[in-house]
Amino acid sequence: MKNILLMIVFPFVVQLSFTQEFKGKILDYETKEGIPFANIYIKDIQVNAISDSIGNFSIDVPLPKEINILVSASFYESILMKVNPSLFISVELIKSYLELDEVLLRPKTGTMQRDNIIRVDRLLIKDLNTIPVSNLSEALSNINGVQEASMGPGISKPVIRGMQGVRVLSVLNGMRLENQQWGADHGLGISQLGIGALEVIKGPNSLLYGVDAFGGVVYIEDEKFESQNAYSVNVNSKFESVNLGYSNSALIKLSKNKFRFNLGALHSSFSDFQMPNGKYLADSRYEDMGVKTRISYNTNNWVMNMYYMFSHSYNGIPGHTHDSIPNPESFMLDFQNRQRNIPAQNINNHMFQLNNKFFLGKNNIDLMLGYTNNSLDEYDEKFTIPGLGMSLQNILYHLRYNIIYGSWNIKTGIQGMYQINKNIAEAEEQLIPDFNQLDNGIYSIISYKTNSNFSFQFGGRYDLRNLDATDDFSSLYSSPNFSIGGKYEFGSTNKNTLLLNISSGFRAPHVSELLVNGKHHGALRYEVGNPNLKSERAFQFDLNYELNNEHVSFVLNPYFNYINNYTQIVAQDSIVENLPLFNFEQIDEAQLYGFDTKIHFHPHFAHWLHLESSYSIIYGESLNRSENIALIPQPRFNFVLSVKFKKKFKFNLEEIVVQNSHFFRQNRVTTYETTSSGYDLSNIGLKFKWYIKTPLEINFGVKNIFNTEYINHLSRLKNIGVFNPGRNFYISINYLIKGRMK
Amino acid sequence: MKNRLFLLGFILTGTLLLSCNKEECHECHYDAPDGSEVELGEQCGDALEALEANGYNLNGENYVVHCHEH
Repeated sequence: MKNILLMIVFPFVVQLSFTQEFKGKILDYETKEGIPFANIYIKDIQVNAISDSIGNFSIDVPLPKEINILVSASFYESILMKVNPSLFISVELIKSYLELDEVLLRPKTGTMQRDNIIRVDRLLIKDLNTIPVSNLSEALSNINGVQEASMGPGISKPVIRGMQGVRVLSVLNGMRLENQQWGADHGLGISQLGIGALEVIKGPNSLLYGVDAFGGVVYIEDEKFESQNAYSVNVNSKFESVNLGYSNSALIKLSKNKFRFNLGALHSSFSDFQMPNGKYLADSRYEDMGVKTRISYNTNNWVMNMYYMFSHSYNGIPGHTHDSIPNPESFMLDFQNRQRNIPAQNINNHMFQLNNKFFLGKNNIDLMLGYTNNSLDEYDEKFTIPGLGMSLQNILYHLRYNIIYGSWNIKTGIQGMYQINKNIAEAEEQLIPDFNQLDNGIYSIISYKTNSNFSFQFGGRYDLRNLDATDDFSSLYSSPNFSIGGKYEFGSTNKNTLLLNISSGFRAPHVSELLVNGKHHGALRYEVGNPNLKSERAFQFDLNYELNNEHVSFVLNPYFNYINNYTQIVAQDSIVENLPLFNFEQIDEAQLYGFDTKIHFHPHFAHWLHLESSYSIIYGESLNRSENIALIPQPRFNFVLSVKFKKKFKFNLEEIVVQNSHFFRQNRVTTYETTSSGYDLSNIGLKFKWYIKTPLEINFGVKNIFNTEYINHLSRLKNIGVFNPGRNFYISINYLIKGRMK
Repeated sequence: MKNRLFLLGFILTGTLLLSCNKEECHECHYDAPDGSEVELGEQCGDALEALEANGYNLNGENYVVHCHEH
């Protein structure tokens, strides 16, 4: 009934029955007038069109007999619907003042955000333009329940509900990312080039993503293609004062008939950053460059997407010392420098991916093949001879059959990866041995949506990992996993949604936890592994309540995660080769629990105003030792005020954003940790648009406006007493040219 | 359209060329027996590599060479 009110489709037989052109009109439900610039997105082949000034659209590409389209427009409630593209369609949209979270489409499952049974948080990179971020981990920390662990802006990784590194799975356009993320000093390894959106699933999700999707999943999605028969060129340039950093990127998009193409390049360079005391942190400089391309082609029953990315990073490793009791002053310089120095990481990534989708009536088959090659060299004492050097190659596959039968949706698939890690001969030391690893998993997920307000999903999976390392180490790990979830919606003026998920996770020990033995300069410790480690098992209960009306959105998300064989790296009371000794150990039973909550005030009568507050807290405890777990994030309260302005002048102020994050003191620490003080971080940003022939967007502002001295509890430099960056002025310019292809 | 694509091609090429590394050069020194640092001046390319791999030989005595800034 709701769908009938939302959408009225008037099918007309297309006169030219041999044409493949898909045409239609987008109308306002009340006034019946055409809606200009509505977006019509065909999710199956990733093609979109924009309606013209009177609401008409047409898409001229080969299409399957039935397609899923997402129709969205500003200030209207969006619709995901199945249509026959040989028919002319009229879609009537109802006005809505709900926030844009609602209109987004999840790339992995193709479901609407609001139809998901698992809570997913999604972030558009372009929404962060007013107060830009230094890296993707910082972008992710805008999501409630996610923070970052960093050694400065050059080396940073996301922390989801207290879990990081090998417990957080990163996926790029459906392909698993493997780039030595086990290292405490190894960042996420992906730049912002060509990235359109980030999604986070918090907690274990082994059912859909497999082994290692234990603490959470970060899904990174490239920018969409340009709308059909159009091109765009986007040039972006940023500068920030705290590290005299600049970043330049360009992205070309071409879309013509069945063919779509994106090409991008990026170069950025950052000096050592300035701390609030005016000194500069030695070796916090870094440099990135990369190119990325994406090609798509489709016929009636098949669509292909091919991706290639190359990235090169040179990251200084701050905090390097041979002193067993380091003095923070020894890392602080009076001058700023960007010239390549040591210690540093030299990282190269090649990623190649081929996605195919075959349409079989209402059903379809997805086939993904991927290859990644990561080389990581660490130069500690010499510029030309690496202290450590590893080459990591991965071959990945994923085959999935999607069946739609009425209200039932069944996904069945097999997924796997073959990984080869080799130490290079020129390196002076080896930290982890050469190894081969083979992962395979088989799964099935069943979803059902009733005609009333209830939907549910359940599924099962079995994974197997075979690990062979030098020195005759060989081990087999396996586990079944499951997930059950339900969603209930009620209310009309006030839309209430209740989600409950119970899921399990499985993580086999990584070779770095089993067999590491040596000085890890970048992590500032001597590490010793434990070959007797068992697989971790997690069971999570996740409850999510949401309230939405035309003025307010509210979310409350409590969770409880119980873990068997929780692996941690523990400080021993010894010094080895001038570095503190850390061993890998396991806790029989651990629990992590807490909640995330958010309120967003966006009144109907004051459309220009957004007020958002969020709070997250997590507790981590070892049950059998009655002590806290290490590296649990500080509780955080975020406040964002955004005011938007109408176009009045040629050089127009478009938006002002004020942010404040309050990090509470962290007293819940383990025996070898120290507590961390609370602090506030405030940012302010302004967005201008210069309305010349091709408008220019200019953002400038200040981060850490009060020059607060702070050390985050998760900072890898905390133990040497080094502050995070001080006050940071920035300016960014974005230039977008768009046109039609002839 | 053509001019804009040329401009973009120029920007992209310039971006990549600017990021290409020239030969690396660094100031090097070794630690004398009395603890003082003896400067060896700026060393580049193959010479830098040889010094780091083999050290500096003075009167039959081999010294470890350090080339990173402090």
